[in-house]
Amino acid sequence: MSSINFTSFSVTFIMLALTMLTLYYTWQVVAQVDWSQSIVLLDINWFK
Amino acid sequence: MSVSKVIKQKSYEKIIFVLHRHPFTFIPVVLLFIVLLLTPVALYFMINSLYPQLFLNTEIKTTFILFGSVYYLSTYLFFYVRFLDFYLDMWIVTNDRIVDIEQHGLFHREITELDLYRIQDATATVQGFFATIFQYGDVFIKTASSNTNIIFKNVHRPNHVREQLIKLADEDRKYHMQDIKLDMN
Repeated sequence: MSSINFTSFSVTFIMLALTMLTLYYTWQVVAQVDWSQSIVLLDINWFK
Repeated sequence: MSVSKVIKQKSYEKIIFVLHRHPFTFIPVVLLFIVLLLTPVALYFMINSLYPQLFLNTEIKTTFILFGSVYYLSTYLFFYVRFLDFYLDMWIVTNDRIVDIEQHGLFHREITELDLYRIQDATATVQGFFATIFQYGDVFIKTASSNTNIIFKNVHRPNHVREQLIKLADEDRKYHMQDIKLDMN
């Protein structure tokens, strides 16, 4: 059973580590974004 | 937690088998997980080489990163759910009963118990190329009542397990003649 518990622990640890890394790097990249900047979703001139 | 605690092992009970799915059956999930992880990377390089100007736009880049992040988190969750489903499925055979523990998703577990003397028929199936090479397959256990049928899924050496089950059931019947007579009436 001990090897099975180790497998379970390893997979859980890897999944948590990957989740933390993904969230951390997303935050790192997205932190520089100016969220107050207005964006154009649809411009009617595109269809003219 | 030890197996004896999980099944609340009785004093006269001896654990014969603790069966799990064969590890080989998890390889397709691992391969799929790797493909799912590599897809956004490949997509990024493909779009970047086709439209190099696209990712210079901050809005598009941010949207791509946010969607990518959600995609990766969902992929991890998918893999983890599949792993738990594979890993927590367990079949415990003692000299008195079979305990079938099946995990469905993250928060759904089903536990079925069956007395060995009730076993009427056991069938082992090995189907497919890899199953034949790595010796894994299913064991179908039927009882007289139609509502309790247990299947050991993708266990190692299913035919050996089936043989042992039949032997154990025959052995257990000797101690349950009274119960069998009551069932008959």
